[in-house]
Amino acid sequence: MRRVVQCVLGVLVLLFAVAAPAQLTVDAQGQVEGRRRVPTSGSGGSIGRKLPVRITLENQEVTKSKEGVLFVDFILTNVGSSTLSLPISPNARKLEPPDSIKSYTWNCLRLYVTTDAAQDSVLVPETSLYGDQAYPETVAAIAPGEFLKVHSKIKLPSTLTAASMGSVLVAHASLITETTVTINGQTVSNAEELGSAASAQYALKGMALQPLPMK
Amino acid sequence: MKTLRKVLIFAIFTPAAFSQMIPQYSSYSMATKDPSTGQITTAVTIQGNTTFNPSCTYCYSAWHSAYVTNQISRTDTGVIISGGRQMVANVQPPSLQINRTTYVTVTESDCVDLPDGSPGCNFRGEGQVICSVVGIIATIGGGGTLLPQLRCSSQVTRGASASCQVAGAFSGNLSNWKFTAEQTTVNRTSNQNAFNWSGRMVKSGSVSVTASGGWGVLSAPISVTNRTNFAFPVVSPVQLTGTNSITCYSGRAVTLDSPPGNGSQEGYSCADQAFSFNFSTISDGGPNHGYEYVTSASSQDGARQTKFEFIVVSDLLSQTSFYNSQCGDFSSSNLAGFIAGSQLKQNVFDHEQGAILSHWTEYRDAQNVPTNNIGSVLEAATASPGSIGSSFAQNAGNAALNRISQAVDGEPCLGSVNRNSSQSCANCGTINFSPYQGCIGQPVPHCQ
Repeated sequence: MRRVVQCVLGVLVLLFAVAAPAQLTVDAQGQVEGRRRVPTSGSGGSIGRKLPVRITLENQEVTKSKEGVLFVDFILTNVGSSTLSLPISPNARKLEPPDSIKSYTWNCLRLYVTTDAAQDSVLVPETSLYGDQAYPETVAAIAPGEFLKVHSKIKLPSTLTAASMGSVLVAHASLITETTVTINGQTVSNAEELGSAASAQYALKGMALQPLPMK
Repeated sequence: MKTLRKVLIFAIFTPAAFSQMIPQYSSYSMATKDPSTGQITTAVTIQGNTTFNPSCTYCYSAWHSAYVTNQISRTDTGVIISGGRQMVANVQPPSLQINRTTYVTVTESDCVDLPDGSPGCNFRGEGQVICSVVGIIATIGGGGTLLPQLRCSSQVTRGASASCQVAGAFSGNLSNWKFTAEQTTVNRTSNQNAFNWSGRMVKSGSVSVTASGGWGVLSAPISVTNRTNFAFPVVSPVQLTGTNSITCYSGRAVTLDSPPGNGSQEGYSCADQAFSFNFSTISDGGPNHGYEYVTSASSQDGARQTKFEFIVVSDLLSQTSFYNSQCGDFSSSNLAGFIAGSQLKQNVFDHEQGAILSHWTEYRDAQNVPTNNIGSVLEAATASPGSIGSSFAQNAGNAALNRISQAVDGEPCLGSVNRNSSQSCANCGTINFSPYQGCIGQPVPHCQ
């Protein structure tokens, strides 16, 4: 029964997305199926290309546990002049081929939050959305002016919760294309960043996110 | 026996080699420790001949970490160590007599570090009266303590291997080997009772192991140092000619107005930074098992290299109407005058790529800060066990790249090319935009 409800909800979400693409929402807060083939080596790189998106954060609630959990929405608005194709599946496993040695390529949208001025300290977990044009339901076309909303969940370290008044939070999005190859039992990932973007700064005050004024 | 003696003599003058001698002794007496009081009791037996060599300079005694200077005295009954320089507070070294057994009790709080920085009470696990070796007592058959001590490679370069071992002839059980760094713990999953644990290291931290028999947790730090030659070098500025357009790696495309109008930009530069890296996950079962780290880094990504390119509007590169309309009549007596064409051209070059205060120096200075240099940042990037893929290095590289980009975004002389950035932003006159005002006389560059 639960599975049926989930399927119905999934269809509704999909229909909703088709009917109102300007408000496409992805829920990445629940249980996600991580990748089956975990790379143990590989490569990456970037030239610092900027994604034409504006990122804003909206938080739903922060649990008052010892290690707080921040339920947050990443809102990515296309501020460019052309349609953006973004991956939207939080489940990596469904995009991996059943053949355990077959190579595959997907796009991955990584969303994460940093908590320091240098934007080095990344809160975990990151939210990763996967997409492959071979699975059309895993890719969304975001037209100029439209946005993608991603429900995410982030753990707040106790130190951050205690000193939350002084923390500067910045949301980041990084879109990469990644090819995974398995040879002789070794899985190698070769990733290339297609672009990235960062939000304005936020402060965590009173267990809520507040945008900081632009400098 | 002669061989053994040579080894021991060498070790006396080589404290670092001291620990390597341990396996060469087989006859130890066990020390005991009272967990409630911390008191250690050990038996020390000295055997051998009585030849005395007063040159014994660094002598490690069995019952404390002291080295005693050549104040070893001799009695008719054998060798007595007395009056030696004590590094153990409040404990008088007992007289040790050949072929006798002497008992000594100390507590760990009595121990102080040796002058060379090695831990006090490093007699633990050594079990020899090495002090007596130099010609005094050839055979150190018995005596000494077998207190377990964890020793690790104190410092390794990132990516190199380190090893830890429980020193001495500790015969109890070991358990709960683990590595701890910040919030991360790596538990050893096999061979818990082994006396050694080694593996590739990329993260500084502490290794610990629990020893049975009341010895508790033994621990030792391992410091990981950065590899050299990862820092990215500064690239020199390169002018793009024959064009008024430039597209940065960031995706920003700029076309300069020709001729420039009021509010136009007369030049533009791109600090195009590229990086790539290879990463690996440690899977050797050692202290850093599961950690990810960067194995190599490059300042180019595919065919795209890090570069600093700039353009200057073509109207300033030759004797155009715009150029010739810059009257160059600005002076201390004519503050309303126009800048000279040659000065404006110089100002634009200085603004974009000059050696004093320019977008290029902003790039240079920012990327020369080790915490910004993308190569250096990638070198030090690691991810705790459980992390997957390249994101740890990608994030670190991106953050460094963005910090440099933000530095380059600063506008020398507030973005005004009326001012010369190599002359402390001195004012050089206003720009004569179209429709041009006529000029009288030859232009004379002047800034103040």
